[in-house]
Amino acid sequence: MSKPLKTTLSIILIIVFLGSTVGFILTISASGGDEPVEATLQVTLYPTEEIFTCAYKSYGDDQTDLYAAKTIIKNTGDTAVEDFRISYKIDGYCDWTSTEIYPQIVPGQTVRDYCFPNFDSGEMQEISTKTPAELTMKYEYDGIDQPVEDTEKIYLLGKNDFVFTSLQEEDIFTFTDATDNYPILAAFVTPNEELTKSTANELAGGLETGMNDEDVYQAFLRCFDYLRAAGVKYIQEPATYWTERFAQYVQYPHETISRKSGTCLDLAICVAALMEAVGIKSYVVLIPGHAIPMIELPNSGEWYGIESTFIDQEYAFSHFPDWVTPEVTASECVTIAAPSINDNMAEGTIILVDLESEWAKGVIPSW
Amino acid sequence: MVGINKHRSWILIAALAMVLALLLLSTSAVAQEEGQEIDEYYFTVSEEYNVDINDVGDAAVTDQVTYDPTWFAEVGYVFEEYPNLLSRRFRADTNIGELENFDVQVDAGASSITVTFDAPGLVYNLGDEWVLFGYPGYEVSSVGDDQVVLTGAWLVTGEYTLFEELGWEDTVTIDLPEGATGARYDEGDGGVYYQLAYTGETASAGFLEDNKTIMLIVFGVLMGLSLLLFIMVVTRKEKEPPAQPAVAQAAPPTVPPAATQATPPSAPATAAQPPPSSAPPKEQASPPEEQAAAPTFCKKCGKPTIKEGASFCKNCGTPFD
Repeated sequence: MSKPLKTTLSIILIIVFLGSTVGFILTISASGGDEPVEATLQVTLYPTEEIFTCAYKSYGDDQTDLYAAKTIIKNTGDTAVEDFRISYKIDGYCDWTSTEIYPQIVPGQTVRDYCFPNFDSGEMQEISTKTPAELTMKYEYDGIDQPVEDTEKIYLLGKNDFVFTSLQEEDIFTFTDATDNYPILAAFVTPNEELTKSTANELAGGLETGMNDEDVYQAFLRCFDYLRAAGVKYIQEPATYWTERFAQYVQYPHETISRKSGTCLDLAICVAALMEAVGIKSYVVLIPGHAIPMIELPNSGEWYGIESTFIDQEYAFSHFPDWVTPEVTASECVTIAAPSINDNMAEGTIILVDLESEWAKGVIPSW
Repeated sequence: MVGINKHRSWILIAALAMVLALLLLSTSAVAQEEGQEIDEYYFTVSEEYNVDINDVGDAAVTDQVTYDPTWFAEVGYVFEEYPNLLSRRFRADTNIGELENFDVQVDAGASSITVTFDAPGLVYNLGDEWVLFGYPGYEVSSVGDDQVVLTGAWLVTGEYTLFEELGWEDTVTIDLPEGATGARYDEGDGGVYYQLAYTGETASAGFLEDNKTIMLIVFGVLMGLSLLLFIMVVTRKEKEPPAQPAVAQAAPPTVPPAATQATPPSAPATAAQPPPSSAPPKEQASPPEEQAAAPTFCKKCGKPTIKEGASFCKNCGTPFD
């Protein structure tokens, strides 16, 4: 072998050796540390304005319209992203949600993902006023070595807070608009709560509340009399300043029974819960400035409302002496409620909160 | 008996005819009553809801709602008076990032409103197929690779009916993206499914990580081989090239190289020797050592010299020059 040939060969072999050594080292160090090829995602987290703590169970159901946050994911790159995984947590109230997987996000595609948290029951019961919390979203996909996280602040309403509408003020035209969140009221009606259930069983004892129209109607009147006998009084609505919205502090039925007082809405919810507890289909009727409980007879399908604020006999007679006798009987209160319901129905200023229907849609009573 | 039977059969026929007539009358009366009831209580609204889907699942929606002219003439002005009425839910915070380019056009002459908007990401990519949710309770009118048509009818109340309960006849036309196949409607979840394969690139960590094992082997082998060869080259001693046999170079120019190569190594060196009459090639004559070693011949008898340095031919006695 001539000397020049030997030199040339040596140089070539050194280059090959060095090149393969560099390649070897790069291959070893390429354990997910490098950036994905051309993949560019735009991921934006949008938390909801407020969480209705009263309906916290409903947020875990992806069939309802209630969610804690949503994320808009846009693939603005040139290549598809594979196996995109996303989940959420709310510090102190909900651990990481189950991971939602999007097998492929192609270039130009937009994905909308929603956070349906399963809140911690014990923690939610402690929330008495509007409370801030941290909502964290994390995502990952093939090609990145560790998840990306983003955190936003959210607010949980007190467990007794009900905001009537989430529409902007300029968008509110009708009574229905002003009470746009009415389905959530069904979460306050708790027929299976212990005190509510036992009270209902006691007052409806001996009646066929499942199939007999007359017995159902009697149970309705008995309920009114029972609450009056228990000393339940009507009170004015307290303001809920912390919500910064048109809102109301709403009592659960067991709170109304034990506190022996309630607003028109509290009393309507309480009567409806007691009726539902013994199998009587009930509604909470909302009309401007007022709420009335109503039942539906199982056979005839007839509706009967009752002016439940007149449970407070003293209040009824002192404020409406022309409407009622001093006794202010339950039957009288049914008669008084009828025109209120019918007139507003004719005017279209009425909302019938169909409790069973709302429960079926996923607005689950929380307690 | 025959007369009685005849009489009976006539009675039977008459009775049957009366029953049929009564049935017909009652049926038509009921139908009329129901019709009156529907006419009296429900105006019917027809909706043409068109969803045009592109290849990445974005939708462009055109929703044309045509009302009963009587109803619209009476209350339709509300849509024009309150332009936010139909758009407010679409403009709500909950729709951020979900709807774009929302627009409402009211056509009083046609008693209709037309709503248009874009919905990016309305269709979900499940990897092996795409799905458009949101159509439970519909009936399939037609399904093709390029279009799915659904129909439904129900009572509706809300912004679009000014909170009055109206009969609603809905036709949903979903135009699928070009190349879509296998379209179907799932009654269970109310979703419209189709397949649309993605043929572009897929993001990954890079070629090296994707082929890590094989690349480690390739680079390892290259490293080892190059190192080994380098050592061999460096340590190899320089040697004199072996002397080429004269006979090999004495091959006549006319002999093709293949013939030379085909010569078996064991063949005698003289086999390729040219006949004495042939003129020796120029290059053969040039090396002096080879010329000295060549045999000489007697000019007279042609016999080779037997002894190197002889002064005369041993065969015929002719003196050499």
